[in-house]
Amino acid sequence: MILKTFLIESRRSFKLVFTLFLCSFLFGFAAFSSFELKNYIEKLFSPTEWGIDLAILPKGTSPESLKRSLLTGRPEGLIPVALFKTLQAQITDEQRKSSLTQPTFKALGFLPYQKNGSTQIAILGNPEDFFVKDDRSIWSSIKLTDWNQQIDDLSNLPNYKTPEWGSQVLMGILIKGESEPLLKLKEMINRRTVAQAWVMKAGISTDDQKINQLETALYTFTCLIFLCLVPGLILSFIILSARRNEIFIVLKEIGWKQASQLQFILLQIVILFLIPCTLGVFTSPLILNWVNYLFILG
Amino acid sequence: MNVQNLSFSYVEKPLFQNLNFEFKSATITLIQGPSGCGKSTFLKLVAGLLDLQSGQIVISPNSKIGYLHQDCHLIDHWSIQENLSLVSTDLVKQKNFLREFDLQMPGATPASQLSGGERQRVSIVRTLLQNPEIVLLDEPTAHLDDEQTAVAMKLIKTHLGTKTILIVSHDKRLFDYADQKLDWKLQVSR
Repeated sequence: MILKTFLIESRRSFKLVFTLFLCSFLFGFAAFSSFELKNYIEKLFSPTEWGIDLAILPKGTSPESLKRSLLTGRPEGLIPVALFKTLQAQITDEQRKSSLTQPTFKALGFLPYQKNGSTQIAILGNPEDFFVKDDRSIWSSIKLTDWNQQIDDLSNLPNYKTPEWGSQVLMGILIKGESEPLLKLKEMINRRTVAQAWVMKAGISTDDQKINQLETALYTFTCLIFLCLVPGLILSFIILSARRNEIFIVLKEIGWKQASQLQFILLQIVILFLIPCTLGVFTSPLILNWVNYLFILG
Repeated sequence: MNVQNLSFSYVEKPLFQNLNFEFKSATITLIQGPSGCGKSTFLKLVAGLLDLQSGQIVISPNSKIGYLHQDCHLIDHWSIQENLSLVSTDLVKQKNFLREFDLQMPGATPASQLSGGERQRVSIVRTLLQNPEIVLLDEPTAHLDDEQTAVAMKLIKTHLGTKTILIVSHDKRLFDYADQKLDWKLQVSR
């Protein structure tokens, strides 16, 4: 009977119920997305501990774009997998010639992409010893996946295919090793390949002024949303409450108990506020990724 | 239904003290008396809409009570059918009662658009559909003409005739339908 009364009342006050549902959804969405965006801005501009010595990236791609690509799952350029294989062959060859137990440098290919709204980084090679997982390390917040996984995930995406290399592509190669051989490698890569090598140092993308501007804009935007939503929510609840009191007068006369009235109020709060608010919170990352994909990076 | 030593007063005004009655089933009791002497308050006490202050009202356990307020409360932004569905989902029964009262079920039209008489008739239909063991009617015919009053009382007698029915009314047309009359002022002043 409580549910039935709720359904009739919702149908009769559809505009009000819809407004309340929407406001609650946006409330949850705005609260969580502000939090997410703040973290995103901080990640994007905070000093980065790369934990690697050299990054081989497509020409025209800087370490800043590398960071952005790793956070958003959208590569800003591609290089062939063949380059990674050549490097691996070179490592094996050098190791064999000099009879060293350890190679002078190690290489790891990577390809960022999006899957179900979250960022994944497919790894080609052995990631052992590569990623230091401390608080400042960029890798601590990134999800690494097996290389074979991306072949299934990206097989139908045209963005990950080029006329020259087909789908045999990477976004870049990370190198860790001794400084002297790396300088030679950097020179060779820059001169003879389609890629460009960058020596990686901590704190490359720090820009305090930009962070402050973006955070101020974010706080202003959040305050505006809350200023619009909170009065809307309160007003909708007041109107709904007046209508509910009218219903309760009748329900009392037909013998409804006080407990049933409390259950009815609880049902309204759960369905018209808590559920849409939670939905807003949970869909926030998906919608932000979608907006990011369509309008910012697309 | 037994009323034992029932007393009630508003903040500064005692309405009645130590009242004792017995209301039998299959009986229509017409309660009469001047305005403001506590007749409606008595019905509200029986319906449980007001808390007892002293004395008690003894009713068989699990007895359903149907109460018709003198202002004919309906949920104004709901339709007639939605208002009636709170007490019964039997659409055929709803339609039959409404037809007997010469009322249509005009789709989604809200109850706020009904006239005083129509509201009263819908409220009576709601009480009939509720089919309570104890029926409390506060001025049930105030907005009804002679013909509609006759229909209302005929329906009440036919469908709720075996129940305990208490009617508070100034309407002299109801004298013929009552099995017993209770002069409230006389009872209160004893």
